Amino acid sequence: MFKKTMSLLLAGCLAISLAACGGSDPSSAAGAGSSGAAAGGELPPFKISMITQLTGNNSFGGHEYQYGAELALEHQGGEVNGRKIELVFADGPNTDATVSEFERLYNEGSRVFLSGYGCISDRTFAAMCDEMKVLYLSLAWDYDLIQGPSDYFFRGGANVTAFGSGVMEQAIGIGEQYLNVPADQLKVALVYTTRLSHVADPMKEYAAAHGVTIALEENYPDDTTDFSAIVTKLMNTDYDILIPIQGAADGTPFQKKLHEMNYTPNVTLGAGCYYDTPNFADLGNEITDGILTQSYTTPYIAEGAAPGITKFREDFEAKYGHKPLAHALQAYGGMQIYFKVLETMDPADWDDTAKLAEALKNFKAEEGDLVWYWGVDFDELNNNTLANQFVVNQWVDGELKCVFPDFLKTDEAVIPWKG
Amino acid sequence: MGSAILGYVLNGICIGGVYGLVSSAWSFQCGALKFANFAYGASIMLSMYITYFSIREWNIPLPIAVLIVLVMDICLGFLMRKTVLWRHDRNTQILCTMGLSLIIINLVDFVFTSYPRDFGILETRIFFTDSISIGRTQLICFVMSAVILITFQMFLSKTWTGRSIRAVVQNKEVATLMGVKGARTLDLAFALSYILIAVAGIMLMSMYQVEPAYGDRMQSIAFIVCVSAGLGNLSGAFMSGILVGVLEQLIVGLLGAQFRTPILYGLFVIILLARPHGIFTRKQNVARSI
Repeated sequence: MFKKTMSLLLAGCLAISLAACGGSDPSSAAGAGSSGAAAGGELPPFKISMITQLTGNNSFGGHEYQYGAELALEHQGGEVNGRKIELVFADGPNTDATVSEFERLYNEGSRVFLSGYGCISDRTFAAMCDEMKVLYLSLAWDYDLIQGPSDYFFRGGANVTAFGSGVMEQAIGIGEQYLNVPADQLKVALVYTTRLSHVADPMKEYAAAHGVTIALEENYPDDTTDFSAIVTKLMNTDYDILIPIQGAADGTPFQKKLHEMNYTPNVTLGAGCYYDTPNFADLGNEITDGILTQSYTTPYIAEGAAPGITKFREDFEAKYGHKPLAHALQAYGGMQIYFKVLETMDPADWDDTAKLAEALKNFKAEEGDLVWYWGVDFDELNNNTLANQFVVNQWVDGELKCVFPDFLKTDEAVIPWKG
Repeated sequence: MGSAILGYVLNGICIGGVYGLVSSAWSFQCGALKFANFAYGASIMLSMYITYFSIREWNIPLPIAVLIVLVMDICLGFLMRKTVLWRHDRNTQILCTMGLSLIIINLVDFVFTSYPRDFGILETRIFFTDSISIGRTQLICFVMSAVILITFQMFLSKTWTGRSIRAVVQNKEVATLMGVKGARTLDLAFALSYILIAVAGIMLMSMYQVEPAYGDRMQSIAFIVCVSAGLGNLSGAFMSGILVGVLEQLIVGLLGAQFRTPILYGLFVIILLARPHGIFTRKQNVARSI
């Protein structure tokens, strides 16, 4: 009797399990990691996952992304339309680790991802998210990430070509407005690490198209530690604007060497996020003051243009103990897009990534609606066409002041620097 | 132009002297002691981090911080000799030390994060003319490198312990017959070579910023310098270091930074093909050169 009862019970359990498996959809997170959700009425937390560089050479950027996403969720109150949101972070310092972490997260029910720092994760996802029916919102700037139409891969950030061209456009503007040098007489010096050649290329193309002369081009290897020879060359070159494209590892020794050798370029327009960061600020006002830097929209734009930016800045600093980098704002903005999209849907439909992707595709935001200022309007290839505004900041007394464009700026540029 | 070239050469000499010191320990380990230590760059990087954190973050007075780095490096060298370098098979040594290098890099990343660390000291420069100058710290490091290497050479040639090391390196069996304890002497020699690594790490930290991958750069430099000089040739390593430093500066200054790596490594390949035992070593038995 006991054996028969047990057999019936086991058979019943097996039948229920099989039915549950048969009903699951690969695009549904509830089928993989959120069992017991729908039946009980209360939905399980909705996972938004991020694979970012939490170890390795770029972990500072990876952590900024993590912090920005965390703060966005905190400001959101931890839930949307009554359903809790759960953030899941994983470390992806390289492609192999990213793929393994993706497999793990996927098996644990993650179906919606936000870009991490850099493009490692984005490249991995660009190749497979349609097949896996995984929704991915990229913030990376590599234009070639988009290889063709996709239902699940979206790029929310600006692209590198626009960024590089933008820097040269600003240089021309500075030349004409402040130095009284027309574009065809302007001479610039480009100093950049090999790792960032893809940022320099569109600059050079833009310069060639507008008659700007590249008076000096120094493309140094990533492991360069001593810049005295490059500074000596700068000292012996006739140019109007110096455009360094650098990260923290090379930007700091380069700027120190300029200062040590008693050489200050007439105008420096930094391109690349190093020139927005606290490590650059750590060099001291004597070095940093007057230097201009182009970036994505940064945490230092005017409150009137992007309501909430001041709260973001203050809360971030209070929570994490340092001023936010542009990366943190990017992740914050990406999370805001997801929240806005989720708000338009019934929480029960969120686990269907096809529906979620469609809602994201149709989502639109005006410039200034989100804290990062950029608007949202995806084209046929899922590129955000409203992420094309860049800002130029200037360091003044150790603080970044937004000096361009007019509707985002908080201060007037001082060129040449008064010092 | 002439003054610029003179500036490149002077800077190259100062930087090259430090390259020489950085490379000499590896030359000693790999060429003379026959230990293939590919955790060398990571060890220098670790020394730099400990120097930075001892002084900047933990507020330890400089002399004590230096002592801490020295002791840590000697212990690290001794432990390595007793563990990953215990076997004499070169392939095992290479693989084990490469593995150890990754462990050190990732541990540093985990403990200290990969944020570039820098003392933030602005170097005072000695100006000969408006356009010719050298860094005071670089000059001091160059002189110290030379003094340390000369002292180390004297230690090897003048002291009983140094002579024991040389004896074991040249012929372990005969040295053992003469009463020298071969294994213990090699332990000591390897641990002592880590003093050079510690000093190199401290000097580099005073000039440059450090990040976990920094050791790879130093490992590459050490490789070029040592093989060019001839493995095991300490004074040759110093001279070769200067040569590499000057060449680097001249290539960057006259041709462009993008040409540094291909030309430097191209010359390295030519030297290897033309003089496999190095440009500063004549005899095949490189151990004798120490």
